[in-house]
Amino acid sequence: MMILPLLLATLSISPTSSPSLAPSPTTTSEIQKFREVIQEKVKAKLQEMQKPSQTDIKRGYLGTITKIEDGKFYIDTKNKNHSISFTVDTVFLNVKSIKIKSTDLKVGQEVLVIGILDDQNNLIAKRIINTTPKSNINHKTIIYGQVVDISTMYSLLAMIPMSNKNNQYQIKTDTKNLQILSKTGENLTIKDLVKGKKIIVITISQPTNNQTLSVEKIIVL
Amino acid sequence: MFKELILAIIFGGLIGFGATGTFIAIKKKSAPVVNNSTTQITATPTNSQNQVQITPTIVPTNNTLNIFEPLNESVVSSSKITIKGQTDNNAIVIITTIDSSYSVTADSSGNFDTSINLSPGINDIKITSISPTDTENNTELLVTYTTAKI
Repeated sequence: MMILPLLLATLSISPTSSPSLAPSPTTTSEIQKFREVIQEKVKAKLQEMQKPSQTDIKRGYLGTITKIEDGKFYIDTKNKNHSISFTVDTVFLNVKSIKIKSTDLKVGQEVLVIGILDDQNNLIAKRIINTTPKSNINHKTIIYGQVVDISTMYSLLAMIPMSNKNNQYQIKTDTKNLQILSKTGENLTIKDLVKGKKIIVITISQPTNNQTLSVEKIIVL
Repeated sequence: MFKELILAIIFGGLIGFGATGTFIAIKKKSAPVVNNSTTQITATPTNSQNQVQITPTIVPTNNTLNIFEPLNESVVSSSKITIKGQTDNNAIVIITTIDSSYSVTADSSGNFDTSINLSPGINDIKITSISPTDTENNTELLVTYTTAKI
């Protein structure tokens, strides 16, 4: 089917000794059709190339169920509200990874939804896992500051964060598993922490009101 | 008489050329000097009314932390992934997960990458960069690690 217009197009554009021989209107329209076909093919190929790979369209949303409908529910994540569709193939798991039914889903439950995005960016759920609220949150805090005091007697270090110089934190330096490292990752000791040094502190948990930090790592700059 | 006429024409011509030359020289001297090498803004007519749109040069800001890989809320099937991004030049980048923490120094162009380990399920990854000028930038990623067929 495609060869005929191509032949016609070739004949119509082949050089000829007679300059008075102009292409007939039928041949021109054939060329136009041929062009359109090519354009469509190129467009389709480009769209295919731009299509995200399977890894790009897999998504995992962690959020709280806000509304349940037939074959669909909504979750609130940190960033936005998502609509989630589920099918008969969707696997529902409870906190202990035991299979449950879709009817076991409740508004207010925290879930991890793993699925694939469709063309409209809606998630088609493959696995829906009930999670314990806040159990997956990384509470570690990174504080950049300067050493202002060190007490070897009490194994304490005082630091002022760069972000708020009116604040002061205390760090217990005799904590088990505390790592003191250089910028390049070499192991250092408490002796390398001197007044005025800039440090990056990685806390185990979020700083509490008493301003004493539980620290897992100190990076000395 | 004829001789005088010729002389008058020659003198007249000389005075005329002299005056024109002097005028051109003065004009040239007072004209502004255009230095093409310092052109920073391009202004081009953009529509039929010859309205000019000026596009200023965009200077990249220093306070940035962009993560190119992995995408937020992505799902991976390997417990080890590479965090790739860009931040301030020579900044220190700290990456924390619930189980571990990692540090890497960005190169002179601000690019960095490092491998981190993930736990099964959702991983809350916090990333902080601290530039040599004490600028802090933070971002957070949620990455799900599962070996289940999706």
